[in-house]
Amino acid sequence: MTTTPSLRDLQHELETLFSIGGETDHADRLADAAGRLPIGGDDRLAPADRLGIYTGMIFVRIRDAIAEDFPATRTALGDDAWEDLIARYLRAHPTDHPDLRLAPRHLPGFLRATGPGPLAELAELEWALMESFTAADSTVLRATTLADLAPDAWPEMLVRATPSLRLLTPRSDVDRNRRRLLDGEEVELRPTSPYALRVWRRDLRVFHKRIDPLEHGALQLLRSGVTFADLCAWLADHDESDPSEVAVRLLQAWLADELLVAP
Amino acid sequence: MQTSGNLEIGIGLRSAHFGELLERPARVGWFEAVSENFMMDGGRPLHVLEHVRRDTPVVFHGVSMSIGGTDPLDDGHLSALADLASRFEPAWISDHLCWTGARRHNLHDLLPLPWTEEVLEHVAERVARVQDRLARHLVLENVSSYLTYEHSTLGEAEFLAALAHRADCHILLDVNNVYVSAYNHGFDARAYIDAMPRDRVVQIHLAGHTDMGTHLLDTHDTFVCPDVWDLYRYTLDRLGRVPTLIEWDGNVPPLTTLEEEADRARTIWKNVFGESGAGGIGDDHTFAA
Repeated sequence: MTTTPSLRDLQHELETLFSIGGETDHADRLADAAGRLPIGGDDRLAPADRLGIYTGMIFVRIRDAIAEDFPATRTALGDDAWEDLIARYLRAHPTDHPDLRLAPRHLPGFLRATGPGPLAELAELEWALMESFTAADSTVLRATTLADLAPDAWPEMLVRATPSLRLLTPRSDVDRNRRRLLDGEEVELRPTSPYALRVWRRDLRVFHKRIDPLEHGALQLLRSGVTFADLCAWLADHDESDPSEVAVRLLQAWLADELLVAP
Repeated sequence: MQTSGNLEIGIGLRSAHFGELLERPARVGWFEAVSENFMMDGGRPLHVLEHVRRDTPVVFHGVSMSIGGTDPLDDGHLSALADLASRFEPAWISDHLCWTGARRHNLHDLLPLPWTEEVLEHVAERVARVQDRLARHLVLENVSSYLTYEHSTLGEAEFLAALAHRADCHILLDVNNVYVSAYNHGFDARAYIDAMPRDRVVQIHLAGHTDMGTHLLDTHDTFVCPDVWDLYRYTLDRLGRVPTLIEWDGNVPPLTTLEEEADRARTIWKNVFGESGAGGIGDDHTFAA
């Protein structure tokens, strides 16, 4: 015997029910809901079958959408483990944003808390690539602009990194592992010595590159912007070489990679 | 930039075609962009949208407004939509007559509503608020559905027509969705089309679906089937020159395949209205933003 719930109560019941994709007591819960809710059925499909169409479809859509942004993580896990991961992830972090693209934004942290480190790092890299891909646009600082700068303007010149910059400090060969996984190679994910990676967008394409600890530290400063004088001072504190020389070397590399934003 | 136009046949703007669209213009009259896919700070998708928008009219089509939901309307989402509209000046903005989540959880599916007077009042009030916020008519699309509610007192077409009248909104009539839902629930697809108020229908969707044996699934991953083409012809006969869009979201084929599917729609359009497009019985659907 079903009663007629309010629209709000109906939606709350269905929201709970439609979130159970990937759970083992799926069929029992569908049958129970079909007995309580005013869902129509016919000879072809009983009410529980009709509810089940949505339950399956919703889980598969979200699972597959997340897989698009984590192709290597998914490949590393394989189909069954990926499905299990996403079911567990969605129970811990139900999708709460209108943009499906943002559904997996907690996935790297979830993996970091619950899974092996190298796998979490793979997911962190793939999410950084996605974030960089859609980060705010900016006007690139060109070498010609610096060439025109008066010598006395250099110390106060603001050096700022593109909003698409992401910095990672993995402890596994995450960049190479990702490439191998995408190329279809068998990969054993295991820890290695720590290093630093920068991820950034150039000409609408996203790149990543290994960097040394000095550049990593400098780029952390550049994310919020720093004057050239303060950058040189920081380099003097962290490197024994001539800070101006190091700053110029780094600047040249960053300009070539279109990593800096015009003031 | 164009802000309106006498639109005929368009296709969805999909990331699979971004590279080609930067190289050459598509052989279609207009594009439909999924609003949420462009609610981002920057990068390639917005660059491509800007590029195509220079020469081609665009409309925005949302999937997450949850106009039939009982959670409060998402002000952040509406603000993002308003910002997008301000930047790209779409000919119109559409979303779906459905709910998409509850308790702040988004299921990312287009879920059917009970068709009752109480729900009609609820949705009409929310449509009015959205239209005030966006300062334009909202266009709402009928969704494919796989279940009905026993306490519905109205038919879906009756509900949609009444909503358009009561809330002063427009209709995006998805002909494939009518066909799919008619099969799944055993109603007459042509009677549904007949019930549409012709002065409210501003856009048509056409798409492919999959026969699952017990039901049809709205998959958007294949060609429009012959029965839906027939229903499209019937719809143009009844409703006039309504701008029509080919939707293809899964297993997206090359751009040329979509252009050829658009050609099929254009051929039917010309058969119905004449080669010049001036011989039809319908109104000239030209809409300002």
